Amino acid sequence: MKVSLRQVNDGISVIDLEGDFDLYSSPKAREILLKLAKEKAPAVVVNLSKVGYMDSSGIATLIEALRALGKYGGKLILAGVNLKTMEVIKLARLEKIFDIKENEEQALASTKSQTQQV
Amino acid sequence: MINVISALGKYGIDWVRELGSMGLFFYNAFLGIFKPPRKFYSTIKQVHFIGNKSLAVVSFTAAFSGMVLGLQGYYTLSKFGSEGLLGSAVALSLIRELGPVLTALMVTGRAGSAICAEIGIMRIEEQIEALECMAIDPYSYIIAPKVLGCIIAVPLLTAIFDIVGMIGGYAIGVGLMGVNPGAFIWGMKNSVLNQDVWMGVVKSFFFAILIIWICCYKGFWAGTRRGSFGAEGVSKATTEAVVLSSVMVLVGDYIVTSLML
Amino acid sequence: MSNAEVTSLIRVENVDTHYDSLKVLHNISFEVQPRAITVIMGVSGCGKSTLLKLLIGLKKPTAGNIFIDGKNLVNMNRRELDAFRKRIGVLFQGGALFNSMTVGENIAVPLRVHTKLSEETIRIMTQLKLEMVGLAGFEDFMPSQLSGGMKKRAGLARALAMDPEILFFDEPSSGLDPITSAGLDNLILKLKSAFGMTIVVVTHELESAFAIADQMIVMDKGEILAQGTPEEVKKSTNERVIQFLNREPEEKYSKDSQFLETLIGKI
Repeated sequence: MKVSLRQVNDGISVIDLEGDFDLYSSPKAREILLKLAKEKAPAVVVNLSKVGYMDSSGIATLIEALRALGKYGGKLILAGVNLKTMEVIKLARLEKIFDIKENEEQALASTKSQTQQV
Repeated sequence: MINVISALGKYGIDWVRELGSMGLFFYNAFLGIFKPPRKFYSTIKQVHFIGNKSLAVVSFTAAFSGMVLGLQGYYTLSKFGSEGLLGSAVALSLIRELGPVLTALMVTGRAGSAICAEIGIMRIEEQIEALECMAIDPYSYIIAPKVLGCIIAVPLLTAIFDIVGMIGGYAIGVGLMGVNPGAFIWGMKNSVLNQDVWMGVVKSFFFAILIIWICCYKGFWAGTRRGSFGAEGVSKATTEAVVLSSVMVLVGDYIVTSLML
Repeated sequence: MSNAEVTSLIRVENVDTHYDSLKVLHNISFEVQPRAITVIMGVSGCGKSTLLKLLIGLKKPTAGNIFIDGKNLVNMNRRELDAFRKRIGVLFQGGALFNSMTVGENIAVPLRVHTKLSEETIRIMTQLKLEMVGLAGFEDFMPSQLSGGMKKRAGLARALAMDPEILFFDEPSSGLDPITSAGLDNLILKLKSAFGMTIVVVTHELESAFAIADQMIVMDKGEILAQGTPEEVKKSTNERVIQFLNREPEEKYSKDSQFLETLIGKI
């Protein structure tokens, strides 16, 4: 799985994942997510639109990131979740825990409105 | 008449088959030591299991064996007026023979039977098949740590046996029978040579391998032979393991002794 | 590890197998459809457990082929067999949990051996699997503290640890009360729909079988008597199949004269 990180305005980080988010590739994503949490990034958008398959190790990685970011009030937003991945999230009953948006634009928009509220 | 011959023949064939099976097991277990997964912590756990379980019984046996050696040794040596040599007699007997052999027998009865039963239960509960279906080699995951653990623990236990035994012999010889303490210790220091210690060390390693090989093998195939399925198979396997290990230790003792003399 | 399209297909062709000289399976042929539940059923001793052993590679057939995604299981070397086994999960009859480890440690075993996932990831995954099988909060329990039904569910959680494509169940309902059994059936159905898993169940419980099967295979004395959808199997005209489905006990009584003769000798 390809993992790439880019910064957009307001210090929001976007992680693009491409390929299978599974047992053998999750550690890569985990490393970057935890590093961002350590640096206290205000918000991280995980772009899953190019992820064909995500298994429970992917979900576990996202949960860990959610917790790590949440410790200091950071936000984790999932963008571009396909039907299959959504089913996996629903089976784990996590659809209410994750902040899920249709695509990257909406995700970024939601962070903007939040920072504006502050 | 034919029945006797065919029964003997069957017995012979079964015996050879069992030998081959044990050989294959040894081969797989040996390979398993070098295959992943990493075994450091599991080996330490096994050293603790075998060493801990056997420590009390080994110490106890050693103390009384040493004491008996003190008594019998004094009795025999006094016939030749050589009571002063009691130290040598006790030390050499323990280091060359009684230490390795008795330790091996105690470990077999205590830890060996426990290991055989543990693996046997795994077999009848299909845990070994479960490992294979998870693409985990049972020889590497279950057996190899036990082999390594035994090879480390038994020589150490033998050393403890030797020391406790010598203390027991001293206590009786000097404390009870009145042998001169200086003579006792001097006898020990003087007559125990490097080759005696080597014999004890080689024997303890050899016995360790024998014990763990036989006990693991019997447990691994418990309940899979005709006529002994389920829990009865485990109990049968454990009994066979302890008996066979004990006998082979004594046979092996003769072989190593004669080779190293 | 496969991605979007699960193509796992098992094809069994003309398989025979023996235990020593006793032939226990005769000319078995069938296909396991991907993303569907196949139930292999029959009375005790019909050979279904042996067939399961063949499918997971624990025993080799004495004749015939078993194709997994086109590759023949019979000819696989160690590496290929290991690769196959990492894609499957097997639930054995008693759960086959390792007695010296907690439930959580049991589930983590394949993850610790085969992957480089961090301890925290493994911990969260363990909790996810336990929640999936209805055992949330039991990760620190020892197997000896669990009931039979809970042991099976823990065993299932371990079988699911690596997110397998194919799941095999050996008599999942055995020893379970009807409610727990129904719960397990629902879980099996969920696994098929949400994860698109291919599932093979060996059982003799008719109710469970009809509740979950997409495809049924009825066996007796080492042969396949009927196969197809549950409706097709119900319509089978084979006498032994009808007997099995109607739970009719087999007539094992000898003729009167034979019986009396054995008792009192020839009159």
